[in-house]
Amino acid sequence: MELLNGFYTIFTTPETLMFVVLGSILGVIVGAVPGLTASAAIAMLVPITYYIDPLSALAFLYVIGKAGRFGGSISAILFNTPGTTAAAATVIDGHALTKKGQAGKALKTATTASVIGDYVGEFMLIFGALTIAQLTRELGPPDYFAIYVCAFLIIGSVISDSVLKGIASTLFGATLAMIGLDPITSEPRYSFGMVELYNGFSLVPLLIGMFVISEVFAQVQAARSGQAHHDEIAARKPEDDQLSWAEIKRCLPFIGRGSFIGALVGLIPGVGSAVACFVAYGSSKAKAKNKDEWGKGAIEGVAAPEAANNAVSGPSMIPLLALGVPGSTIAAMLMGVFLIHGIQVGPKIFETSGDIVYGLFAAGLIGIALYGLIGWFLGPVIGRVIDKVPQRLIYPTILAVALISAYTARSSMFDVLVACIFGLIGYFMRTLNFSPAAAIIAFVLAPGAEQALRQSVLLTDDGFGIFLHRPVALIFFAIPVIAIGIRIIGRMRARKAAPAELQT
Amino acid sequence: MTKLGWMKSLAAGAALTVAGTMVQADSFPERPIDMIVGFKAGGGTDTYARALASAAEAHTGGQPVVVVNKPGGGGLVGGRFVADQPPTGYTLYLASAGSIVLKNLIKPQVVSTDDFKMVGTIGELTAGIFVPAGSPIQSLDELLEAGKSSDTALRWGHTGRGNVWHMAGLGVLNPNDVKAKDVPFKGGSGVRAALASSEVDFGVMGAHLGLGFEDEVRLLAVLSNDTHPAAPDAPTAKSLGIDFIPVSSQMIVMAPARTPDEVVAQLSEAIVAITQDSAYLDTLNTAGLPTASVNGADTAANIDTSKVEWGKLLEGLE
Repeated sequence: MELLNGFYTIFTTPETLMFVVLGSILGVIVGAVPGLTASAAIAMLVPITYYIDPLSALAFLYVIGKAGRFGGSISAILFNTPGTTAAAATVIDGHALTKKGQAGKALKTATTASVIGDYVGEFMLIFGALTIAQLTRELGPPDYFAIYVCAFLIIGSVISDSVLKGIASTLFGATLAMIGLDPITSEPRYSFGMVELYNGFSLVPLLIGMFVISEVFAQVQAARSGQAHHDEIAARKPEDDQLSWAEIKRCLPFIGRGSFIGALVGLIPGVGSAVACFVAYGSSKAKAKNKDEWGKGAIEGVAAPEAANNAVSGPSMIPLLALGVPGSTIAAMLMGVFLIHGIQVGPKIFETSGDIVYGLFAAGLIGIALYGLIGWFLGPVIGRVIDKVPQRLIYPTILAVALISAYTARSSMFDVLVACIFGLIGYFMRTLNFSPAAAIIAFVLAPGAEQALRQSVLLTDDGFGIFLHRPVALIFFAIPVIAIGIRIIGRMRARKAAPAELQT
Repeated sequence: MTKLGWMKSLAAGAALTVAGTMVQADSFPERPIDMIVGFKAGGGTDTYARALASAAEAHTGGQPVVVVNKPGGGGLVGGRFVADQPPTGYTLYLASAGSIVLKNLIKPQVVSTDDFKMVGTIGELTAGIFVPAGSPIQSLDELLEAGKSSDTALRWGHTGRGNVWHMAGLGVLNPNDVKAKDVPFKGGSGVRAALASSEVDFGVMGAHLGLGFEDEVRLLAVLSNDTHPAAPDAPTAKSLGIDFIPVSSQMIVMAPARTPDEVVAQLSEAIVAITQDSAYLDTLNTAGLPTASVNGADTAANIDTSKVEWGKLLEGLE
């Protein structure tokens, strides 16, 4: 019933309600602007929140995070550039739908899936936080290492058509992550004497380079070679802008699957939306009946990853609130806001600051509905407006905004240079069919995996034997092995069946 | 916000060329003062800077203190930036001096405390030595005894080798001849989580981090001479009569090395006044962060002592 009190607080405090509304609008915008991620926007806004009351401050940033995860799908669908890592999997089918003239349909699918996924995650947070926190509390470095390995293998096997190129891209990302402070000895590694590399590359310029700038290059090349075809975003038929009830029903199982995967991934500190969306995409594709359509514009291919990336949002707050461990960049910044307002995160927060916590939950629930409305009604409109703007204006603008975003994250020209260099690298990776997304995800996951592994070995005298005594770790090691095994058996059967078909 | 800060420093630079060397100590400060923090907004250092800024105006003749975040290089990028600014007293650097001094003792870095004049100490984070709540060990004495007698080495968590809390741990383990294996974790919250799940036998982190986690971790002692505001009942290593070298993270305001002495003296006076202001104290007390109020000269003397003491500790490290 504290939740009802939370709603009461928000609806009776116009200021807080205003920040929730503002947060959902702003979140969708920053998410949709290529290169400006929700976490970068939150980093810029954190100082402002010191001057407003704690509930408004937290609600504002929390809702930006949620709406931003959804907003990323807009640029993914319209421009083939994910606005955030969370939308990296949405590009595949989302942009294919745009090319078919069904941008409106794709945006509505993304909205529906994001909203449902977000609610699933949020309810898990509200009703299960303390119980779940008890379970995750027992996880130590060996278990986390197993979880990372599981994530690596599952993503590596689904992200690219060519397994070898997928692995190569993953290794490239992991290598980039080696630059910076060694997690155990705290010595700078591969920093080449540059103080800017002391802590390694930061994610934002890398993201901007690999996803945004490389796409701009690809568009320039397309225009040069005369292949530029103006993506038809305006609906050809009225129903292309609509999402029918039958289509929603078709997507529901995939939304459910995506939400479940996203919520589970959210619980694990340091893994996050980018992993959730690809795991959801890959495993849903494997289960889909219309597998052939995936990648060419299947709405299910938008629904699954979009549900997953938003379902991450709620559960990722569980380790922060209940254990004081920030599970994501956004959570880490929220922790700072709690701190400055004198609220101690940790197991006692539900007793000591219950009103704020439940107010925050209520704000989350309201925020989801708000960005859902924005996405549903404005998505197709945005699509049509963008269509009126000539492409020779769109991509230069995107490039300029991307470079500004790269600079503002740390007020650093070095980061702008990094973004440009990785723009070139990303462009060549695309033309050679390597996967920039796999590289980025590996870059995000590798530091955690390395630290967990090296801590595990330090925690015991029997070296790698420590994993044998950890049932949770063994389960997570087994998951990808079984999944990949099933796939290999499936392929072998298909191969046996194929010649038979040819003969007939 | 960072963009705003950048524009401000640009404007400040322009103003400087106009004003030339006419900056006079008696009219100082006549424009806003930038306080550079080497970490992102929301961290511990940032919290100190914001608290200082919120109470500053009354003591700086109405001129605001503007917090500018310049993260990177473990806080050193911001430090290098300030060291290269015109030495006018309008660009200051707030940092954990402990961390800068230790980094430089291990290996010369791009910036050291020699690049600055000390303006004042505004806070001091001290280490606490913790065990998991379920641990049979009840006191620091028992822990040290267990460390000496146990056949298998005890394992302890800290926030990174060469980090302030690692040194604080060694500061009590080495003088008592306790051999234990260290495991670095990411930040104090990482150490706390490892303690809560009993991955390690004991851990050293900021003493304030036990607040709200009393059912998960037990604070055995604060590794300092004075009691800690966030844990007033916990014994200190000194009160227990245990041999130790205190290592703490002092939050120190610094100005570029060539800043005129009279400007530094004025700033130092202002910092001492701000850190005794109730607005400053209240903000940090609610956050559970310990405050301090030390002038520039004493701060510089403290750092010199620390360098000698900590140098000895580091010699013990391979």
